[in-house]
Amino acid sequence: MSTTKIASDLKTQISSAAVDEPVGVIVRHKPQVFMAQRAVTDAQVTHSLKRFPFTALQVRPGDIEALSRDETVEYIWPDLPVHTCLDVSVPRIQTPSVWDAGFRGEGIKIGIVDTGIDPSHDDFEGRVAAMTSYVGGDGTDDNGHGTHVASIAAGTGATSGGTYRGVAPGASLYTAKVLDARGSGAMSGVMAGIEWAVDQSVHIINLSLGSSGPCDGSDALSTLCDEVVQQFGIVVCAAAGNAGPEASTVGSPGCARWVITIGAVDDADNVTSFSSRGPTSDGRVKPDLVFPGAGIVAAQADDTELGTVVVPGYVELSGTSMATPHAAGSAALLLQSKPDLTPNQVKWALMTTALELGQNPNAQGSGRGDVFAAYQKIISETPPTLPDPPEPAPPGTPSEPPGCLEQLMQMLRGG
Amino acid sequence: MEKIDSALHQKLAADPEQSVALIVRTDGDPASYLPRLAELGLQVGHQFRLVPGVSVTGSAGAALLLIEEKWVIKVEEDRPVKTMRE
Repeated sequence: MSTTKIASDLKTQISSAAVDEPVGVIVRHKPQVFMAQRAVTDAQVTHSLKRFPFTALQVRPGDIEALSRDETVEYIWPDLPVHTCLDVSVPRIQTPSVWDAGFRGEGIKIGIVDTGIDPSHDDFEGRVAAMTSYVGGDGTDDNGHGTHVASIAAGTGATSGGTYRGVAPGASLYTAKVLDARGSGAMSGVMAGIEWAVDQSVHIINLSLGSSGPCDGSDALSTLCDEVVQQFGIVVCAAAGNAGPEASTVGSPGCARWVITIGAVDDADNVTSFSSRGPTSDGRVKPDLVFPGAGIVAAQADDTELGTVVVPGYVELSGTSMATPHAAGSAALLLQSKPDLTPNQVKWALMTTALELGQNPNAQGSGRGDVFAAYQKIISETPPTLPDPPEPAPPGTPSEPPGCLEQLMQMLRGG
Repeated sequence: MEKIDSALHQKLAADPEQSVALIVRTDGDPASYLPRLAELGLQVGHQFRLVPGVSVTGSAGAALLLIEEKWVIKVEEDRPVKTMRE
């Protein structure tokens, strides 16, 4: 075997691979026509770069040696899967620029109402200020979801040398376990967890959970969320849901008027097919914003199997669950930089600076969040004092279609 | 605000023996209504103060009686929730 032409990790991979199961490889070859099938007759070319002498193939492990003997082949690597890691999604929303300005969430408290947290993960050392449970136990995560969510919002990335650092790595975490080992619970448990978080005087509550079914924001959970925002000045970030792409699939509490409802985009800023769409059943545009939520790599809870392990201590998950803590972490950075912001002003800053994606507002809201643009806005402009939302017009009331700015103001008012 | 969604009312009336889980919004502090809830055979789970109320479990028949109480503002199902991971 021309072993010097085969990458060591590919040698390791093919030594344990099934004989007849093709593996993906990338071949660098001499800058001339590369005839893969000359060396390996049943090699399948998947990609062939035009400008550079690289070709991606599917070949059987046993044929890689023959491939390496071809005189036009210079080197062979494994064609590895890629993920939207926190080291990609966090920079995509311009977080490092806010860090460079001196804000990483210090002094801000984020409530994570979810499946709990693994406080032993090094990414949370010194970060978990309090934890409780409404489904038994001490609040330790026996599912994995809450740990992943918390990591996106405020993990330090310590286990990965900072690679998988969350949006607000300086924020402190208050976690209420309201979902069981299967990731399931009831609205009443979530309400109890939210009340606990309010009692902890958190600044932000992250709700990467929800119920299915049509929703007009009048249910008890949505009503509580609105109360928490309006009466206690707490920013509430809620997942839109994963029932897309059908219309009117945002459930509770995503349909709550005053929360910031978050949908998901992939790494090309396409709204994911699973991300729930609006409008709510009373006709309001939702989600409010979208953030990265496809293939997100973040902390893995000990003794859990949720997600695909990427590197030790980290797993990959997708969902509006993963998009929502990007928003919660962003809110933490904004609140640290300007502590007197109201929740609606945080929402205004994020929505008015979001990257327009050219998609239906009931899929993208006002666009994909950009926390640095939002930060620049709040330090350069006086945020408006937004009025209470008007009562929705009775069904069938004729009205002029609102202009673009009025539509945005309606969204900010929760209407 | 109507006290109970018509679809839920029909569901309760269809089988009074069935077990149900509900969220009940109350007129003021729910603690004062705990004895009446117990009288009706409803078991209280959580008590809420920010939006005053309780979560209860019990028979649909008991829930139908509960709706008639003056201090009950709204009755709705305590619906399941789950994580929003794909």
